[in-house]
Amino acid sequence: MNNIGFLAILRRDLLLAVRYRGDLANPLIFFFIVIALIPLGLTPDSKELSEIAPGMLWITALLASLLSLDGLFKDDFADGTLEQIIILPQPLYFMVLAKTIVHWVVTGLPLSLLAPVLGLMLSLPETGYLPLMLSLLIGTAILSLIGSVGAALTLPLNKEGILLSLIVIPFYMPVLIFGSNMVVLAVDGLSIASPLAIMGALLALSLLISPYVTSCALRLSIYG
Amino acid sequence: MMFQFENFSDFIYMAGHGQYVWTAYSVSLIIMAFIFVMPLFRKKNIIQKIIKKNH
Amino acid sequence: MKKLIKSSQQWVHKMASPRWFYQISGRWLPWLSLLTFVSIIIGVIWGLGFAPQDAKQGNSFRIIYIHVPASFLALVGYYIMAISGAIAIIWKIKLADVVMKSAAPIGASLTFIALLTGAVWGKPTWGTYWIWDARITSMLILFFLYLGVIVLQKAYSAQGLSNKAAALLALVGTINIPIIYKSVDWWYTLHQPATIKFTEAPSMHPDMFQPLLIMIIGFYLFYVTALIVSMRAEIIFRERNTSWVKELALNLKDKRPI
Repeated sequence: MNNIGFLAILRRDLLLAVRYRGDLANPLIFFFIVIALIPLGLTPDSKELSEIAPGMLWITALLASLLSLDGLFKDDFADGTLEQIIILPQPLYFMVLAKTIVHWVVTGLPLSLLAPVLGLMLSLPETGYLPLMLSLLIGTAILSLIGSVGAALTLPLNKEGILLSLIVIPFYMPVLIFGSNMVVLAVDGLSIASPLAIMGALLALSLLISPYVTSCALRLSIYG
Repeated sequence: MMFQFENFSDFIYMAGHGQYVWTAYSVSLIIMAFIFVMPLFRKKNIIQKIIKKNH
Repeated sequence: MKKLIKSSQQWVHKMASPRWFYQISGRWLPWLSLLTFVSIIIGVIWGLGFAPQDAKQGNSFRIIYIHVPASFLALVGYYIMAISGAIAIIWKIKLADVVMKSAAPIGASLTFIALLTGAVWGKPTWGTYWIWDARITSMLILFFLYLGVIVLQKAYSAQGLSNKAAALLALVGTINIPIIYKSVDWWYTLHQPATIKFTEAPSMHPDMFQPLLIMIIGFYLFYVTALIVSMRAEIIFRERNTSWVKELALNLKDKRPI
């Protein structure tokens, strides 16, 4: 019975995302532009670039994901749909999970797939491509989940954009640490098992907790 | 347990570390005094506003 | 038995009243302030002038008497803020909300003091004002956590909304603190530069430890006193339209309010 609501929200949000295709490209364009800026601002030297590549790719992907968080609930909040979703008999947990999954499919997933191409631009060694994609796939999922909490908490506020970033960044830091480390280890030819395991654990933890906390935050935002 | 310095100017100089120690201590203590005193002024302001409103 | 339950319920109910807290704290505050002031002064003088200097770090070691208590209280203060926030949203006790609102800036300032004293201590010890070691980095992240709660609080109250979202944020932060600490620790051991061996706080001679203990107690007292002073101002503000506050104001008209 829970599946019906979950699938309905999933389908609806995916449909909306496809219809408003224009917004989809924004995180990708941001990712692309910033990565292009890095050699210009630092150095064109291949060897030096390859050293900073894992971290830079990860940081930029994180920022791109962060910037797209704003729109997660905003449109539905503005036209009253969110309130309707909250008072549905289905548990809010699954509704929120559905929205978050769509957010990830629309931002994190494309970012992760684009990353190896941008890695090429930063002279990332070939051994790093697959771990980069894998770490970003898992990592952006965690970021979407954690970010949804921040998006829900700042929902009723007249947006001064930096507030959401400030709230969410401390929670992003462990993900960044382990995610970029996974790529660095792979580039050095070492096993990525341990950061991978930790990322998996973080994903499991956030899957369990984040939608629940976000539901509480949404109820607070709407009902005060 | 005795005083660790020969004289007062030694105390200030602290074998070259004086600027660090004194900066750290004075800035910290000033901030702490600030935290303590600000709410006192805030309360005074509120009380004065209440008095003005009711008289 | 029933009478016992009823009277303890009444006691809890009374304790949760801001007015009761204001009156009780008014009686204790002068003594607490005096005790705070005395212990900090003793600790400072002892640490600055009478404790022996460190064999390796010399006199800059004396900064420890501010740095360690501040860091300690910064961390404890975060939990105080989060727990009072939790009590406020779960049991809807007004006083807990006041505690949380007051605890936030005090904790943030202590974190700032810890970072500042750490940086100043670093210069003569390692030759640099900033160093990305596990402890300092964790303290920096704690500072961001505090800032987030404070900014969220201000944004909500600017629109006349309640404090609950900030309380929720603080709560989520408490889950995060152990995760952050562990991950930063791990990150640092991976990247620890071979040249700089971060020495742990030197194993302490009792002559060095005693003033530290005094300062830790003094900082604890400072935290409680600063919290109470801030809470009293906040309570008067929130209850400014009630009759007991108006009466209080008129009584204080001729004397200087404390």
